Amino acid sequence: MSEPLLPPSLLPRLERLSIASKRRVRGTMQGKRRSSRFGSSLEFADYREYAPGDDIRRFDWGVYSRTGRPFVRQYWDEQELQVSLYVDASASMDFGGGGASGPADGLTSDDNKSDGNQPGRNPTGRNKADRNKLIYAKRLAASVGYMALASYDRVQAAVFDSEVDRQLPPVRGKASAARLFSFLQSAEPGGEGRLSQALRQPKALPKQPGMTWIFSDFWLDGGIDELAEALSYYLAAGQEIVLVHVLSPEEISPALSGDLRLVDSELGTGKEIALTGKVLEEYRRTLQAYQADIARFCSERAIFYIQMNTGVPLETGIFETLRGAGVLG
Amino acid sequence: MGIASWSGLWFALAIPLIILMYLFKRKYVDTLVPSHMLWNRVLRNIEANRPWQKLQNRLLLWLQLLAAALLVLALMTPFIWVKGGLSGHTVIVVDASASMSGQRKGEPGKDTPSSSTALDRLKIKVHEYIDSMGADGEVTLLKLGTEPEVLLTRETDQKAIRDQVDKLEAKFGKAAYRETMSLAAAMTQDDPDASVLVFTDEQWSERADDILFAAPVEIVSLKGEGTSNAAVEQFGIKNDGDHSTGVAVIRNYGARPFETGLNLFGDGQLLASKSVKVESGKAVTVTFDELPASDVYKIKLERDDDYAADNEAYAFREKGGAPHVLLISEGNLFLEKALQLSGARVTRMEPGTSAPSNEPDSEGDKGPALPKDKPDMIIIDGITPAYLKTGEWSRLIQETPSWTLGGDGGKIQPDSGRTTVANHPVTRYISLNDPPAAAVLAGDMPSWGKPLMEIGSTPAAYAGTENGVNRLVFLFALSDGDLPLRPEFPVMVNNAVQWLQAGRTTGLGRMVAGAELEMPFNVEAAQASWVAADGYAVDAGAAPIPAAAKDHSLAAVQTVPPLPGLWRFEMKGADGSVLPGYNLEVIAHPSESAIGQVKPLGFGGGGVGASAGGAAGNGTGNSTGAGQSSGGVGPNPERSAKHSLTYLAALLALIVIIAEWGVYQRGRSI
Repeated sequence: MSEPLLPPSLLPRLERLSIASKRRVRGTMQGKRRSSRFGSSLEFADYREYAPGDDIRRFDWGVYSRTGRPFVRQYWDEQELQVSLYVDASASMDFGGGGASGPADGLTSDDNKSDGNQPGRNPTGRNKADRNKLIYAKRLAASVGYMALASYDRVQAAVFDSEVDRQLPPVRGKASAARLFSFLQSAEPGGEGRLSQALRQPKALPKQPGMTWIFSDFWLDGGIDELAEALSYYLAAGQEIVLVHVLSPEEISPALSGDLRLVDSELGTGKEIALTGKVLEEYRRTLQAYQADIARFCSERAIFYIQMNTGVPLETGIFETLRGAGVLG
Repeated sequence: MGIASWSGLWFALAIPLIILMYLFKRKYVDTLVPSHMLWNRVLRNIEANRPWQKLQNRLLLWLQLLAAALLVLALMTPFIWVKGGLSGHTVIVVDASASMSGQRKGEPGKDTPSSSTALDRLKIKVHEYIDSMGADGEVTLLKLGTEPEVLLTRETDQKAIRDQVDKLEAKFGKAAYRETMSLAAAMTQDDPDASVLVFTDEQWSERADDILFAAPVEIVSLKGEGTSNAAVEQFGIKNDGDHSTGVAVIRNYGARPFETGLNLFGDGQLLASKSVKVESGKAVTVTFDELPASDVYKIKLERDDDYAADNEAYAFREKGGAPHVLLISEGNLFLEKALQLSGARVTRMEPGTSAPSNEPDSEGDKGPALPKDKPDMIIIDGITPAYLKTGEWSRLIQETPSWTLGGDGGKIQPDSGRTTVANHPVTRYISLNDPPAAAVLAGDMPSWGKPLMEIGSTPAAYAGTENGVNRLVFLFALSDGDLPLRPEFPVMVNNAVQWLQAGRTTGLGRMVAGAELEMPFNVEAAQASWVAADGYAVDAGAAPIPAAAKDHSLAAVQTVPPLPGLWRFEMKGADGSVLPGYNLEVIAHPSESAIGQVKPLGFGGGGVGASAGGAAGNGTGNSTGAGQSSGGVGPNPERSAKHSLTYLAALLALIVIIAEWGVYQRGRSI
């Protein structure tokens, strides 16, 4: 028995939120989202002159009695939103929460396994595992997915590193939340992350237009170009994209010093570097520039880009950062 | 291949040090990071700004580069020019020849005393050089005297060098120019850091330009300008009965004519004076006639010149009159006649008879009494009487020149008839083709004897000086051959008398200072010393010099006192009684008188040119010193010397390597 990915106390609060999609969605099933089509919802849309064959249940007798002209009332169709959640589970995501013992501890198997199997033994507290990027990303994804499910949206999820490892087929309804949670919970870190290669796979692309959430640290060899290439497919697939950039405090401002051989967690290659204040300053500048590049790219294409710091508690991240970004409403 | 300096081995300590450092070297700590992507970008940003930024933050790299550069620098043996520094090994040759005692006119405008000698100025100049001696300078002090003398070897203590220089005194003997310079050349032969510094007045009587030097030679000239010197070149006295004639040769070595008065003293009394004018470079002979008899004559220039050691000369009167010969013979008409022909006054004494004195013969065993007048020479013809070997006769024989003809003992027959005659004053004008005798006495020739005649390889006669007394020994009796009948016989007897009479002067003659002299000791003399009697030595305040002793007795060969002048060898008997002494005139070596006739010095070898180049500035150190303004020219205190920086560079490299250790330990770059 695994502990819930999200603390139970969080779920009611999440239910009160919903994903704020800016577009009118076109789904296949009835949902709570106002569709771009007229349909059978309770929301009035327009009047239209009666034409033979129209459903006479929508004939507006009141208008006919006042004007003598036949009109039918049209209502907006309410359809579901298809939410696709993509969680990066590459090795680089298994970081954060290393504490004073250094970021390398994040990879030690004991910590890792326990984090995966028993996430959030003390979910409300801020223990080490809470800062782990993958756990944090999984919890964010679970939160978003739960919100969507609670809103009768259709949710599908995928875990990827260099390719999509596993996929959760679209599920609906709050009852499917457990399935979503267990799917996310079983995601293990490992492998080399290749976001572009993984998300461009045909099976990964959502079949329906909808909303795509990508939770990743975006440490891409190709950088912004690789990201842009992958996202263009999703834009073309009619997806409204939300990029959640999950970074641990150790990555945002690394507390490293001395002559170090920095080992890439995915490639295993080393890089000898003499870390000084000057170099760290340059690192922070480069990180900011990288994030600014992504932000600029996203704003040009109406993509949400949200930076999440795993040092920030999850609830703060959801209710302040995400809502502040306008993706939740 | 050879190793010039093993001292560099010290820096081999760097090798274990480096190994030690690598043992302690801190490695790069493996640190896991999510991705290199950003770090690559960071490094690219840092390195992309400027190509050399890659090197900028690597302190270790800089330290190693610095160490390598310093080591390269050390291998290049860098040096700097140090002002006035004596660096390396400097062989300082100080000229202490007699001419250095000459007066020098002071340099105009300088504080040098106007009456200082060249040696005084040499001391000042050497002091100036020692003042500028570098910390690593080593000085070998080589004194150029009558023989090369190494005063100090590789001395670094300046005070010790000063003390030695202050003690320098001029040597009046024959200066060993070539030997000293050869020694200096040998000392610097295999030493690349060595240099030779010669402090001299450049008045060298020998050429030294064929001595090859491997090291640079620098000459510091102390020659004076316009020096004047006149010398009494020769002085002699000839006896003519009661009166004597003195002859002196005065030579002017100066550049200007020299006019002076000549004073001739006899036993301290002024006997005659003459005025003389000598042209430059010429000599004038002055004759003094009708001089009263004196034991010691002295001639002295009235006017002082720059070199005082040659301004006076002495002559000793030969004992006048005919020599008094005591002939101990049973009678030999030819010999007596020949002796009379030579002008000798002969007193014949029969061997074994009473003395030709009026005193009665007291005891036959003791022989006859000694003659009243001491004979000038004794001729023993035939067998020597026994009494001559004991008592007072023995002493007389030892003190008096003697001629022995024949004697007792075994005779041998010479194997070959060929007679050879040695070149000797006694055998002058004599040519003996036939043996003078058919048989000669067998007996060893004493060490002082030199063969006069040899029949075959057998000596027939020898002569020599025993304890300063001439001895002539014929190993055959005149009656054994036909020698007295030959026409050469009177000539030979005359020669023999003249030779045996020689040295019968009141003095020992004239010797160059520092030479060796065989001394005619009185047999009773137990102690003796040289006492300055007159002239330069007295002016210089010379102290008495004890005579050299050998095996608890006075050495037969004595060293002539070092200062010129009239010296008296005074002897005392074992009981303290004063015995008759000898006079000796000590002179400086004549070649030293040539003051002012300077030829520029030059030395062979590649080092000389280097000295000219090294002595930049006013060129005083130049070996081609002929055209220099001399006088006060001395060493240039501003001269530059090479100061090696090799050790400094190597030391810095070592320090840098040690500093690297700290960086290793710290594990940090900049």
